[in-house]
Amino acid sequence: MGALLIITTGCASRLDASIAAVNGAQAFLVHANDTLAASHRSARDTAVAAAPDEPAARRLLAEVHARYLRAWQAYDAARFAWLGTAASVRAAQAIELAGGDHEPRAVSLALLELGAAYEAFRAAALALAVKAPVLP
Amino acid sequence: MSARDDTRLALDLISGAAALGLAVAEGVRQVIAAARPDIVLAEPPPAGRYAEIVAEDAAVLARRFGEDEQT
Repeated sequence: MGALLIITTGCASRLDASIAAVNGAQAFLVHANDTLAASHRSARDTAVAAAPDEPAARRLLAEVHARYLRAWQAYDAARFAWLGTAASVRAAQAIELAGGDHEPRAVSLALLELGAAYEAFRAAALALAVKAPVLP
Repeated sequence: MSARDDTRLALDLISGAAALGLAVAEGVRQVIAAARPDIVLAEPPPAGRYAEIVAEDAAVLARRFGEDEQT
């Protein structure tokens, strides 16, 4: 996650680097979504296969879903952080295009929030033993 | 003008302003994409799939226990 900020400070165009970081984070989130969904479905199928009857299967399904809810909530929080970061990058782009000076700290702070939200998601995924990709 | 008319007018104005805002944002995005095609932001990541997976429960249960009943 630290690299998200480092690459935004050392490049010729900080905004270009920010866009690269946001696009990189998008790829990680897409992959994380697929990984978590596959793990959730696999846990559900295992639970249903192991249940002796339908009431037991329903109980196990509720347990599986409750276990995965926190990770999905953390994923959605990271996704909203991504949307916020993308909006601040877009605003900075528009200001730059109009010949104005944007506040680079706003984009850096948004990237920091995105990194923190992604780390929270990764922690929730790890609690489920789901291997989420590490943000660079 | 009644209070209901006022409310409707206010809602129309709000939705009109929202539509205008979206159109301006899309216009800005297109201008930026045309000016700097190499640095366009990616599409937003997909929404979480918790609700989608929970909604599959009925089909999963029917597949598992529906088959048992037939055998």
